Amino acid sequence: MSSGALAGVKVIDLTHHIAGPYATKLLADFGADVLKIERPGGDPGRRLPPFYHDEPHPEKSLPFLYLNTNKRSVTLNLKSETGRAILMDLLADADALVENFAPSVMPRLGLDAETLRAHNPRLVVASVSNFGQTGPWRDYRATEIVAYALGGLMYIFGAYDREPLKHALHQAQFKAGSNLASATLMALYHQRLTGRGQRVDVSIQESIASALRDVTNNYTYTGAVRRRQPNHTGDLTRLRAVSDGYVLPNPGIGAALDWQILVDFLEAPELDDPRFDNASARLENAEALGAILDDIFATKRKQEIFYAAHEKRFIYGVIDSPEETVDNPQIQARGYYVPLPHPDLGEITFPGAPFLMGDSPWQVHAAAPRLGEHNAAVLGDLGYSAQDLAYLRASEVI
Amino acid sequence: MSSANANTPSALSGIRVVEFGPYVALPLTGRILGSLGAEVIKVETNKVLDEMAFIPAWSRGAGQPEYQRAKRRITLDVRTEAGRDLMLELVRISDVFMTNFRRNVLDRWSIDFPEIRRQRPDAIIMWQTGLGGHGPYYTYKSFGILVQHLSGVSLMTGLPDEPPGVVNTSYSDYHTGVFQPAGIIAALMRRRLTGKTATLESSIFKSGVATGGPALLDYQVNGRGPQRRGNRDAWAAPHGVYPCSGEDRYIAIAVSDDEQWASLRKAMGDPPWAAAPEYETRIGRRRNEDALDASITEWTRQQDSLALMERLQSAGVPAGIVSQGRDLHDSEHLQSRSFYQETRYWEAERGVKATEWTEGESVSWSIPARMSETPIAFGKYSNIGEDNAYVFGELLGMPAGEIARLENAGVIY
Repeated sequence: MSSGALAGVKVIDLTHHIAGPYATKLLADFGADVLKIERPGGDPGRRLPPFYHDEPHPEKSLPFLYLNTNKRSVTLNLKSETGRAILMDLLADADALVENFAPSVMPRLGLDAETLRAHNPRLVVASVSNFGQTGPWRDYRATEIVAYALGGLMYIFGAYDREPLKHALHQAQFKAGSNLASATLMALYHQRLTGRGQRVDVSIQESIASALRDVTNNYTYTGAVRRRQPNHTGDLTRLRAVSDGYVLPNPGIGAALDWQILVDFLEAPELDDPRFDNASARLENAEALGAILDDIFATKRKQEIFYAAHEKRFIYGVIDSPEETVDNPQIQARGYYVPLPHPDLGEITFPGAPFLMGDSPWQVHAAAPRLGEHNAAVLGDLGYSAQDLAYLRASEVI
Repeated sequence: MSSANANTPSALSGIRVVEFGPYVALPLTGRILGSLGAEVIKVETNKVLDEMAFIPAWSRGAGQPEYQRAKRRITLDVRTEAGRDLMLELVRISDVFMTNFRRNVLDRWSIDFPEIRRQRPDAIIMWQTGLGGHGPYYTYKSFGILVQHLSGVSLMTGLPDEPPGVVNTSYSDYHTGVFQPAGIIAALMRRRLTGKTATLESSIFKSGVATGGPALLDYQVNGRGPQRRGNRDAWAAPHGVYPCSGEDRYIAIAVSDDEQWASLRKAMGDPPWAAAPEYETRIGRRRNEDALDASITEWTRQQDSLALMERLQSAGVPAGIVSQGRDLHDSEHLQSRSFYQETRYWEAERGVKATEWTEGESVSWSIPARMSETPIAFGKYSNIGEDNAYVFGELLGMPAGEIARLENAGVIY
């Protein structure tokens, strides 16, 4: 048994692609025993690019390798009766089943939540789907960009007079995955108190729409629709190019800005000018101010101005690349990255714990499983012999 | 799904949490725990109000019915000796202490973690940081809106050949706010099982890096740096947002395979341009994306975005409007799931004590998860200091006269 906080928690993982596997990864990395059930062709996430050395291969998808650490893999064809019977056996002593099929799929397989919970009343049945298990959009299809757009985050992002922009990678999927992990744990906590499982329903759209700080409430409180911000070059918090990249300056939030301190900090006497020394003057002379700021920032170096700003208590952001993120001294000092050997691919370094937990270690100890790697061990535990396994394989159940 | 019976015990009933700190991620964590039945005591002071109370308008805002509900809200100036003592008394009767203040600030107030442990040896401590509590950046002030760019994701966001796109909201905070409850609940489960407590430390920065895992691996094993693609996808096409009729209206369309392309063609009425052989395959569509997008734009431009979404979805094409605040509020789908619920709020005003703010009625979103057996309460939205009598009087057993004395002395303020 692992020594993580969730040691002893047994999760049957029917998830695929990104949001679901990220949720079960969080559970697995905190010590839960996560058994990943894959369709005989494998989780479609195994086909997600980019690949190790750009070689498309089910064991070399980098997103898959990242999202499936610490899990074991069993292949099972849930469309076959035997496959479903084996699943039911596995569920008999499980704490949670996590899945992210389209909402119509599990009921169609005869695996609706009621049936599963009748089979094992302790079972938490946790689902994440694009729009939730109910409502008129329940069966709508979505990809990352569609869920992100419908969730309301996309509309405020991008240039004012151009089309909205999507955030890079799969932000909606990851946020929904975190949300699902939290919700599943709440249900598990309750199960430990009462011995009863329950149904958990998480929607990717709602995961984005909740917590939007001022998109919906701008409308509900003021009747205004918050749009992408107009692009005015004198904005002090605007992204600026420096000689080796980009920074995001912020001279302070809410508090009155002492212009002289900013002038001194930027070593820019040309800004010591009545055209710029108060907020309304700066707005009137935004273009002139913007031109001067662009010139000043172009002479700065990203890391130097980042450190100097924080010494002055200005909150500066720098725009880092994945390379710089890996080399970041703060992250290195905290031992965030974890090198992990993979049986076929050698050692790869992974992002580590989303938070640290004293005494109860977060661990990535096992690389993502190879497809069906644990078929023999897991089904052996259920009493299937080597001969049975051969039969199941031949009849495409596993 | 059947809704939970109001008499069912909540998932976290019996757990008391002290929440100490402003902004977004920490209060969101507290709201989630409160909705699950934990008794969350929010410690704040009228002397230094949370800037988020002044959102959406920057000088007069709505308070924070989105983040501060399902909590008991008290006022306490912990910088005073009596205030600090009361804070420690609260810690003694609580299971969880969570804060987002920096270590040097907590030290200054003598509310450091060793002190918390002395007061309550089995307290679960959750420390939310911007960049981590140790290492060279630990004293830096940070906000999610800035820290998120350290994660490597921003450099991949935006249009090719242009500066990176910067999303002007603190999405990393939102992400941190939803996974922190997972850490706290994991620690509570472990405490029940083993009797051992835990100190959790999160960082907003990491919530960004966690979403960039595949990109970090791509750099490591393939040496590939960040690429900005706007709304386009490395594989699928068409993939993007397309303008519709009306002001600033768009629809997102993402065609992942040839079957969906055939469905989109049909939905468009099989225009001759779409029959071009270069569009037959995914690779062909990717290679000719500029022309493809221009033709689709010509078609979408004349249509209502919501009607178009419904039409494309019935044809099996993944599509969605780019929702504005109003669309979310008016969405029939979200209404059918009771996503928004009615709430009172107070118009935050600078320089005016919270109890004198004007009350109003509006709506706020509910916690984005449904549970069949344990209620997820929308919860009451208290004003700042509204629960002083309950917490100091009932929980700590202070006589009313003593509470009044400390109010006048600016301690309970």
